[in-house]
Amino acid sequence: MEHIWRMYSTMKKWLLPLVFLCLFSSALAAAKMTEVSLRYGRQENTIRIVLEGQDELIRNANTITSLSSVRIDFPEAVEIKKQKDFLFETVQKDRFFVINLRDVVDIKTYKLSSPPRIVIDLKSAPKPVKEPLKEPLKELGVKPNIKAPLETQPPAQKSQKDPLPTDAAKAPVPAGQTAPQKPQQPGQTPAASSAPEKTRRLKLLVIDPGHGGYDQGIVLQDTREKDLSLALAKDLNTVLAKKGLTVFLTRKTDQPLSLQERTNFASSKKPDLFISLHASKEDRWNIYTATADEPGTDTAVKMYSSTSKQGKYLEKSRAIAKVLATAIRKEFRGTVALRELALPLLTSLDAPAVIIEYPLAGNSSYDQKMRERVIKTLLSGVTAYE
Amino acid sequence: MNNRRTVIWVVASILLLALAAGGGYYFVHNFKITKQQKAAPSPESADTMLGQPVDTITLRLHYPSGNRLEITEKPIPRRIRTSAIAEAIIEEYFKLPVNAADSIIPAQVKLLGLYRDGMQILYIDLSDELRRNFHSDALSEYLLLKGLYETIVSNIPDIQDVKVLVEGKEIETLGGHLLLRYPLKNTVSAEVRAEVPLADEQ
Repeated sequence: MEHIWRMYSTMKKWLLPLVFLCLFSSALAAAKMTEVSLRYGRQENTIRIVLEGQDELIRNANTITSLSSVRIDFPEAVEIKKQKDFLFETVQKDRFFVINLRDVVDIKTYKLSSPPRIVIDLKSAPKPVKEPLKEPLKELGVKPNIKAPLETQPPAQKSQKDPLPTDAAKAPVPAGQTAPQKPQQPGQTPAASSAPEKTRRLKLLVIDPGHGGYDQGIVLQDTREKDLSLALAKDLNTVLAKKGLTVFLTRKTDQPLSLQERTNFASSKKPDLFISLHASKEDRWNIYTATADEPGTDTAVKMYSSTSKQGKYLEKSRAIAKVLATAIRKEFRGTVALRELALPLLTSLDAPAVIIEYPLAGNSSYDQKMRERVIKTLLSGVTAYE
Repeated sequence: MNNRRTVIWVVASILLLALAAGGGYYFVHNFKITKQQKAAPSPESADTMLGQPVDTITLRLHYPSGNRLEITEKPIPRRIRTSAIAEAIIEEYFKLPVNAADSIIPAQVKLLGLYRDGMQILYIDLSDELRRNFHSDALSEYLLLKGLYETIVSNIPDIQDVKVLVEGKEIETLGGHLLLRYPLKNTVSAEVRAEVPLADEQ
């Protein structure tokens, strides 16, 4: 009996620390797993709340929304780490988390991966702004190199944008031009507005060679869209620079560039014209301008939709597209399709913008002679508009 | 000394027993799930019992063709679960058509996962071939995404929107023209306007 007792007391020495160690480590692991961070960003009447946590936790969470509260039922107990000065009152108990809302008129929730997160977009009732917005809207958790368009609006442009009329029929004064322009009459046709005015001059252009890096674009035999667009952009840059225009290229080498990076770069230069060069799979030239209407009424998308930015310049963009189409038809005697589509490269720009697609199909061959013809044509189009 | 050895043996035995119990539970648990899965035949397998489909549903596939979308109807064995229908739709959509040379549908795209959220947004996780094998222009990219969206919402009425993921991640764009960071509805709901209607273009 004494022997067993002695064995038991010795075992206690070993077992107890072992049990405690196990319990402590599992408790530590559990605590780490169930942590959910809560952050928010705001812009005008829209607030975005992001709850980020472990994949399984987010995937299996149920979100119940009303205009007065958001209730999230997690599959297990969680610890919510709130951003300081969070706007709303919250209640948390075990696996339930409730956000009590105020003055919200619309609410949307999304579940996104990479990183796993629940995104809650709230639209509050419009009211007079008492103080300027301090914090840009952040879609927290998106890859660092991809920023929401609203985040990247240069402050200089914002201040310039405010006094300008939002009516699409009223063409704003191009950047760098001080002479006041006569506003167009409502109902004026695009053709009428496209007539060259003496005061209108192109001074600064941004040319965007499409694709780049791993994104090759269309590949036809040995010709890759990314290379051809870059070569054409460089040639166009040379001839336009000789004419005294300032030209910026979004890329000068074979490098990948996101759409966001392209529009950010172009916006920062405040160009009088943005031309993006792409190839078409069809055996014809296509020139795209942005669409006039909003693609939808979804709050979340409207936040990022920048059709309104391009809206002011739409008439100019259409006028440039028509002039370029005329020059191309004259030189190549083929069809040129003028199309309007809500392409982000166009809609998110605060400048006249077109996407030109040259044909890269059938027997299209872009030797030196052909490239010179293309450049000559584009130059005559730009000059005609100028 | 003798006591210490006994203690070590006892502790080792307890640990071994715990390990065996844990391992046993793990294998039994997994085995049970597999058995359950085997025991319950899926609606699809029930449909094709004896090698003959007993019931079919017809999918309406909106395929990009030239400058527009064309609707093709395709009968498939009846599925009951929405996820099974969605799976069949996506697999059919990315099957290369007969004249594959003219198709803008990227080849070898695999469906990696599907789930929908409380807002009835269907998340489609596709393999990287979607991006790697797509080499086309802005209109083709628009038609490919519009066709995918229309195909899903026209066959599964309670789906409100579609979000495309590639290898489980959001990507900025498919072919360098349109944004894929948001669900497709708004991206594809704006129609292409043209001087000459797309259908009449030569």
